[in-house]
Amino acid sequence: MSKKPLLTYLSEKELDSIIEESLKLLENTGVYVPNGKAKKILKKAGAKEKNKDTITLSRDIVKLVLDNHTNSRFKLYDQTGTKFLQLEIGNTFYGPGSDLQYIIDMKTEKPKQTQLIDVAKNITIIDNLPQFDFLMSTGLPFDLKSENLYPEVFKTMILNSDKPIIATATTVQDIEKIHEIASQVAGSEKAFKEKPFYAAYLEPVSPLKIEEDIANKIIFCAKKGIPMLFAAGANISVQAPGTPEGAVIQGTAESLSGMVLAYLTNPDVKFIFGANSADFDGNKGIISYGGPGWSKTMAYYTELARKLNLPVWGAAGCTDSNKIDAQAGAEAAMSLLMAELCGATLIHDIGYLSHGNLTDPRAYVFNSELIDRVRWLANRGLIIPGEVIPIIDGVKKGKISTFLDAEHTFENYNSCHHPQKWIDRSNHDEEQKTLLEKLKEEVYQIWEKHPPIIDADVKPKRKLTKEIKKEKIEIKKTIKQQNLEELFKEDPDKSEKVRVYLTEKLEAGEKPEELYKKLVDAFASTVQVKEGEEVDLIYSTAYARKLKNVEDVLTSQMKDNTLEKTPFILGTVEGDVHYVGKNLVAQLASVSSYKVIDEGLEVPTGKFILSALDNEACLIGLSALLTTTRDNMKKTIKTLKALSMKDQVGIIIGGAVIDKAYAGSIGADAYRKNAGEVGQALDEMKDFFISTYKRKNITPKNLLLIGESINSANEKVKNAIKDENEKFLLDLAKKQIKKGARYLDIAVPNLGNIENQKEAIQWVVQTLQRNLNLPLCLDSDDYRVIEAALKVYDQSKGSAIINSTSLDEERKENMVRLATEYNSNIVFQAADGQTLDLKLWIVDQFIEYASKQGLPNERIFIDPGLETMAEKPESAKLALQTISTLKDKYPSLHYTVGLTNIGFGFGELSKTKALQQVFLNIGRRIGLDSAITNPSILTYEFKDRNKALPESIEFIASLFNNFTYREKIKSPAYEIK
Amino acid sequence: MTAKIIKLKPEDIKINKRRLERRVMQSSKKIPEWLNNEIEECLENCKHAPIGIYDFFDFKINQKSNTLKIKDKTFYSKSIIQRFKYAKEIGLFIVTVGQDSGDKAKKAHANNDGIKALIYDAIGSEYAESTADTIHEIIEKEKDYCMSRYSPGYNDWHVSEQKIFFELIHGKEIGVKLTETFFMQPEKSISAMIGYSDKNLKGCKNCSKTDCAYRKLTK
Repeated sequence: MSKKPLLTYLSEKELDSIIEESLKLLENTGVYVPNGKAKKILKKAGAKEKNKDTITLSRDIVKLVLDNHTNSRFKLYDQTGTKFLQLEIGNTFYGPGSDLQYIIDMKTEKPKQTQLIDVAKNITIIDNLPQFDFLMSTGLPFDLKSENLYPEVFKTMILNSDKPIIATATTVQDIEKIHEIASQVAGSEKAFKEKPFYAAYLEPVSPLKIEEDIANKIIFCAKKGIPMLFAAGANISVQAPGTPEGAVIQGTAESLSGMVLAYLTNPDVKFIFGANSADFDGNKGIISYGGPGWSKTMAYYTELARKLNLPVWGAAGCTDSNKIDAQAGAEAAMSLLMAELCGATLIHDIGYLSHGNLTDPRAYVFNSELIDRVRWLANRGLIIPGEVIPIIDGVKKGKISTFLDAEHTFENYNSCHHPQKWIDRSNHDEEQKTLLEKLKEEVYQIWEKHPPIIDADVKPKRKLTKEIKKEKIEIKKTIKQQNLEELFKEDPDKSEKVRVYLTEKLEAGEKPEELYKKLVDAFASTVQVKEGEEVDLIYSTAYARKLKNVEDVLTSQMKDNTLEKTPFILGTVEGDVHYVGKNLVAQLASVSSYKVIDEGLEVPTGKFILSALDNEACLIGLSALLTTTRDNMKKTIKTLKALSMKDQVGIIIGGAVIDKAYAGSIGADAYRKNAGEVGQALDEMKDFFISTYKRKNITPKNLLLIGESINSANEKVKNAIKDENEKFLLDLAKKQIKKGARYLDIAVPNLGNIENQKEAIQWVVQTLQRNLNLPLCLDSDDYRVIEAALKVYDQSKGSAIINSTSLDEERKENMVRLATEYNSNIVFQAADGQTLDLKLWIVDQFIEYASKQGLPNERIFIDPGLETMAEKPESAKLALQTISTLKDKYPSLHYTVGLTNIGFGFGELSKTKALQQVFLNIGRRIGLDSAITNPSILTYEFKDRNKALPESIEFIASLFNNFTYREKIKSPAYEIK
Repeated sequence: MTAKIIKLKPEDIKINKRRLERRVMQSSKKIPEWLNNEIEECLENCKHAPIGIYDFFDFKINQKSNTLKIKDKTFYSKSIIQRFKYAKEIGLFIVTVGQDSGDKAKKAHANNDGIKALIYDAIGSEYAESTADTIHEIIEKEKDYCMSRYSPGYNDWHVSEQKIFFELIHGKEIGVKLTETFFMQPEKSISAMIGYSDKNLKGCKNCSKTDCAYRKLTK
């Protein structure tokens, strides 16, 4: 990806071997750490104290740090927090060095001791040379007291430039003071941590010593989020072995030791790898700053950093010469080119003269053009096929006189030949200023335009709350001229103006609900696609994010549930884990008028349907990305049909493998290729499904549960009635009422002959009504038993339900007569009839007769007849179909089922209960408004509800549809809590 | 031969920026500056760990039963038979770019940032695709003409055959596992079959996927 060629010295094997040697050094030789706090931190991670204060770091510890550190690239901001250097391997940034004692005086052109004003002057120059990316102090002023020297120098840099800083310091107190200043500039410590603008230049003492105060500095910087480097002066032959390669092994170990301590202090540490390993000149007894050794070791460190994935420290642009001359030019140019080509990250010491003792303000200007030049050299241009042939052709044929006249040349001139300031290209006979004269002119010009500052107060450079407020006032002015829609449309990625607008309107007294509606409308109109236009999902998504980013202004002011949103169930079908499209749909639908219930990935059919039941939803969105999984969409639709729910659940499908033809073939209600259009499709279809749902759905609260326990088919009940055991009877009744029964069914089928039954039922009715305040459902096929019961029935407790009649003439006539005479309700058994048509015909017959007798539909319960599902699953399917169809035709009729029947024959109780609960919930969605059952049915809690109930739904559907059902229904999910 | 593992450096993977842009923005319009900035930001934040494993196999095709047999494993798919009937040898490979882009996409979605989610997902896909391209190129150096690659889940090649695919070539050696429903984890991974032959059969002409982002570019 990089447009830059990168220099390579070492093979993978050689790199590995350097790292290995360094690890061995840390593991065996160890690091001198006399600092108690640091030792504690290191030991906690498993480091050992080999001898007193010598800590060995096992390779596991070092590797843990190298594998887990998260800042292989990070941003070093400028002081204003608006621009940044992306510190990562391959990006190269330039800056001066620090702490020089001597400087060339521009007036005398002789070296003198550095003063604070010189630092200010140097920084001013560097600030005005765009080639320099960061600051270092350049000088160590003699006119400052040592205890405040480093903070003062830091302050001076801040006063004269906004560029990022690499700060040096001796003691931890220095760093603390520097950090205080930095926090002031950033606005706060927190603001600094968010966008750090300086890094601390920390150094071990070679070989392998982290002295007391150095450890404190590392710990302080790591805690405060101050980026750092830990670059030793591991110079060849002096502080480190006598070869570049040997020095690099030591420098690597030293740098890593600092990184380990920093990481263990704070794993979020921002660390710059590397060390300084320069040549030693034995004749002069100096460390060479212009010699080639340092460039070579920098290249090594950079290659190691590429492997370790860390930004890296480097140096260039310096010379051993005492003045700016040919040697200075050669040494600076060579090292800068090396720095750029190896791709080291932060290149310092630019402008150093006299092997690190002296600087000259002109040296910065001098180097600036060299930096431009090496950057130009390292940058590959574009090769654009076909670009130049017409020009060459034109010149050759004489259409263009020379290449100089070609437009192409003009267009590209500046990028190919950047302007030069001091490079001399004059003819030998022209009169010319010397290089040093030209540089000096430039230096003075800069100082004139930008007078260097010392002795001023540091001020915050980042926007403070006050200024943000001021900006808001500005925004307020502009938004007065615009409406919400215009403001919303403006920038897809910025939301501030809309926030201010909404806040303003709220303050002016507009209701948040109304504003929210306007906001959603603004969103809708912004993302609306005009006919024939290409859809840009990215804009819809960006505006959805914008809406989400501002909506809290309004929602925080709204009362709960004031936002009525339509529930929309969404998920990726079973077997499929693709989520990108689905998530986009979720996001886009949720910002308009939908409450998205995202069921996630691999959602089985049963789960979709359960979710629709739980959330009272009428819209389901199915997503699939594979041809092998999309048929699960079909399964869901087929299941909804089998459960008679399809007319009140709209299905929209989407995904890469879906097209209109497929959608049509499986009976989906809508299909959209683009996530951005789903909202529109939902808008179009929702009304139909919601109206069906509203017409048919019975809420759990309105579901009439008729307790079935008082039935003499049960031996205990039979005996209790025989013995007239009042307590038993009342306990049984109360238990059912407690669980939610609003009627109690009473059946006395096996208590002897008709006279015995009449007596029994009368005793039960009277006993119950004397003690309890609720109506009863009188259950017998024989009208004489019912009549006996009605004779003693207390109407003040609510009208009775006669259970039941059929089309049998005698039974029908008498039961209907009793119902009218005693102002009772009646259950009509439509158990006969094995087809839907036949069942409907039977019901029609009865309704016609009942209405003639003056019995209104409101007092009729239709029981479609429910047999055990294990043996006759079609009866349950038919029951649902019958209810759903009749609900359309006779909306005022009631419907009921003997629910317990369906579960018989499945063995396990829990499985039976899951089936009952699910069936009842499906039933109530399509119009079933009562059930004769165990009233606790709706409140059963299963151990894993989200598995048990969907499986049960699918099981029912599989019976209805002859699906091959996987035998997973035995799973423990059915356990009742 | 035993399977070869190739560990690549993130910088070895050259991604096609235009193709990435097209993944993020489906229409052919120029991408706006704000979006470009967000893409750049996400590119900077993503940490990829591209790695691949591949191996070559002899195989037998039975056109009557639509099966392709490698060792004792049998794949059932008309489309792979059609595709590889002229191949001399079959290569299987798996590549991954790791978890980071997928994690970041999910996190962005959870933060209601659909744009970042889309971008991170696209970056993951693009890197995975480019990693597959790079491995493909490496294989191509070993074999003459490689045909374009084909993955379980394409067309009638059922995704459940990932199971035997992973029995032939061990994804776990490069950290790729299968879920119960045969999807790869990390999700930005690609498993593919390639064949090599005497003739050059590569290219869009042999591919039935018409709405692929790449096809738009090669038009």
